[in-house]
Amino acid sequence: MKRWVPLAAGLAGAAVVWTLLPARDATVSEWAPQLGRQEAIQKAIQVASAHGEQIEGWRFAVKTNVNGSLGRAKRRFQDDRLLKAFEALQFKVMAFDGRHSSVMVTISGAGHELGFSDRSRLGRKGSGERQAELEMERLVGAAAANYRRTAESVKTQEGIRSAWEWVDAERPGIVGRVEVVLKEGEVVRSIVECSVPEEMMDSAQAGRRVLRDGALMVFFLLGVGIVGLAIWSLFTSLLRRSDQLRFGMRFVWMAAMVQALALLSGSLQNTARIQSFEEGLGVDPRLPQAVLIAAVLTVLAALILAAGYAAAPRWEWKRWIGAGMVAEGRLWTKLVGWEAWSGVMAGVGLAAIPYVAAAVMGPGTRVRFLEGSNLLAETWPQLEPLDGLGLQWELYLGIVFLLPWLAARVRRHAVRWGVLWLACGVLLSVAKGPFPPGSPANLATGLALAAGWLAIYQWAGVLGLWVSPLGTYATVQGVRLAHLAPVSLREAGWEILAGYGVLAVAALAAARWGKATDGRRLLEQMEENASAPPRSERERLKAEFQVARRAQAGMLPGEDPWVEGFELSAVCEPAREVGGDLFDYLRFSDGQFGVCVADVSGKGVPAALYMTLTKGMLAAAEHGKPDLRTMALRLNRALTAAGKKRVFVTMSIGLLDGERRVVRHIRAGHNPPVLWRSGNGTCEFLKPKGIGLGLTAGRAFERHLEEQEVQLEAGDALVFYSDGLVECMNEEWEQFGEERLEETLQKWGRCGAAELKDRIVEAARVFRGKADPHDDLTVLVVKAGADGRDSIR
Amino acid sequence: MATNFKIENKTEGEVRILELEGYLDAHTAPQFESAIQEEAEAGNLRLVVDCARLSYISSAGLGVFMSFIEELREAGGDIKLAAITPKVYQVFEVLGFPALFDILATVPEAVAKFAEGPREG
Repeated sequence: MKRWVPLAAGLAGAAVVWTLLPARDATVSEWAPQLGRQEAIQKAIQVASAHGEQIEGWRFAVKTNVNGSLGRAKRRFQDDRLLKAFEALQFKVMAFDGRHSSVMVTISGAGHELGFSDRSRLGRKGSGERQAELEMERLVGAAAANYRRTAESVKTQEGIRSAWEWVDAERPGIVGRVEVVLKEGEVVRSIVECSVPEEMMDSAQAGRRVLRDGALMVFFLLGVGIVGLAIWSLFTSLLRRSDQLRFGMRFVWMAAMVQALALLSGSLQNTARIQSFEEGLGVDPRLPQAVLIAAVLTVLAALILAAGYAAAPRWEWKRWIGAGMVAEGRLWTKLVGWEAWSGVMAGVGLAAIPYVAAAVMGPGTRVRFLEGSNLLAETWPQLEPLDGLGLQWELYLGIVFLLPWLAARVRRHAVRWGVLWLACGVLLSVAKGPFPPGSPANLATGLALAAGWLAIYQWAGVLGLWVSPLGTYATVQGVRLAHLAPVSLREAGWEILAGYGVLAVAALAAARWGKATDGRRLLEQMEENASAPPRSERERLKAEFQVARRAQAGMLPGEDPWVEGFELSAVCEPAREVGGDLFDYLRFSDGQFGVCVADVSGKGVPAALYMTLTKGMLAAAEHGKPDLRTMALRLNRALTAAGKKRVFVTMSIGLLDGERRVVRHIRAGHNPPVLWRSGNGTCEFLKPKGIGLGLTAGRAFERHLEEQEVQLEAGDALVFYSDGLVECMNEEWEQFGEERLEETLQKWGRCGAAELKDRIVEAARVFRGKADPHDDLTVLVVKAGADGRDSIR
Repeated sequence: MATNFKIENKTEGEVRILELEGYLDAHTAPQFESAIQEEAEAGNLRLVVDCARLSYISSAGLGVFMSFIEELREAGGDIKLAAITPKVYQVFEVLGFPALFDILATVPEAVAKFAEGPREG
């Protein structure tokens, strides 16, 4: 974006607002207050004095009240005598002496007394009845003649109540009312008001209000939904990244500071005190409540900012750098300065939009944008614009979070921006609609503002977007106040404009003279933080184990093979941890077929590594002669060299001769395979001598290695297995054992290889029950068949 | 698996006797390993392991024997096993340990075996 664009936008916007506001702003042109805070307090002191109460030196709270329906009625029935006497804008001034006494005076925007209420204890006696009438005349002046008495000295809890009414003959339903309450001859409460029933208004108005309420409900639900989504998204990504919590926390301090200043400005204090007065309470219970709400909102805002940061896809990161730097406290930098300056100036430019819309709509349309009529009664109006930093929910939900989140999921550029623009536009027109509900000008304003905010996000990043309402609010509030009659308000207006102008210039100075930052380096840092490894060490190990297990499972044969003269079936059931069992089929180059079951001692990744080595050597052996002794010797040599004798491998290898149904077998320290004879159903454990592989490199291994040959008849079963089967333990720490294996074979020996294998595994599983498996369980069944049957599952 | 495991040491002449009690598995193997290490460092090269009260041994336990045996034998010592219960003996036997170690029925026999001179390896 060109350097001059923000300044130009700001100046243009400011000029437009300055010109159009006086005629188009409701506060200035419609309500036209003649009082500011100070003036209202002075007037209240006079009124109280007239009632015999000296309140000078007491503490004051001032609140404004705009009776919207009265204002609309005045616009509708412009020539009505009664309505002419009333004004939509009221000031409520509450004075309290810090102990028990409190007095409330209601004044119109032009300074007329509209009501008085006294909670102090009075002593003086007066003449009673006549007092009430005098008070009534005092309140309504010349119009007193129009009032008719409706209540005669009614005894109430407060005192003695008298009431008068003025009914307009031409417009039945519109009522003016005066009420005076006396206690011991003194006025303790008086009020004059006017009420206009809804039915008298334009009926279309009611319909539009329903529309507005409905839209607000949708807005609320949408807001809740998006906040929920933001929180969920934040916490799921917290597991993957390492720095956004810090980021979010830092934003909390900034948002908290803003909220604190807003509280300080006294608005919440005012409202709380006056509401509690009106409800007859002595204290202001709403103040702690207000502080709590402000705190919660601050945390929510920080959460949503952090969520946006976490959800932002890579290509959005450059828009988050400025915000990140502010969160780190690095304010005096070129980047931060430029983004802040552009954002504020663009915000000033955006302030013009509602007023231009009002001008286009035609005469009589007023902007009630940034409603803050209470601005007139603020203790420190200069702090009001800061509210824009903390409470711009459309901005947070819509752009700060939703856009990055959408951006990660919606591929099409145009669709993403289009959806967001429309959504924000609609939300803004409902939430900040400056015109009557249902007016198309609302939608136009909302869409224009949304487009403006998206442009700011695009070119000045999240930081620029966040501070832009500051520019908007300051411009509108400042110009508004500066155009009002009361001196105190005019001064306040100029102070606002000057103060925030200074801040904007400071941002510009930072952009010009601040520390240069390396944007690329910051992006790299964001990348580092994004790909930080998972925090928990345990998770990392778990991931490694899973990789190892998968690799292991991949090394085992997947299907039962076809071998002439035999039926084969095998399975390895891994235990929870990574184990070291292995079974393999060997097809030698001369056509002979071998089976192998091996068990690596130990557990975990080391055992798995030795399993890999073993598997590799077996694969190599397939190229040589099928000589079991040679194979075993080679394996022993390799494993002894590789291991430190702490890891050893037990192995059973069998060589199958399909023609003669003969199995040659070597048992290197492994569990003896069991032979089940189909003829008489007996079992025999084959135990040729043999030491485990990898235990000794010396001659002992060779000397103690025996090769055995067994002749099988059709239907005989030779079962190889690992110690995971016989040492399988149940909850009573009993082992499955060889006896149970024999029993299983005697029961199911007649089955085919695959079914027999399944029966054995099932027997072990049933025996184990709820206990955890300690070791890999391997079973390899060799059945001498009538013919070689293919038993692929 | 219970990890109750105890080692008690005794001396008989030049031979150190390690009495094992309980379960020797992956959890307790390190304990056994340090015990043998201590003996080796203290210069006690002739060890008899009394397995009378050893209820269970796993491959981790077996591995401990293997890791020191070469060292000790080269220095002129040895580890001999005594009084192994039948159930535990089966584990040793399946693996082929009798071919690698002297396994005797009682401790005195094992101690006496040292007088016979080094094993042919």
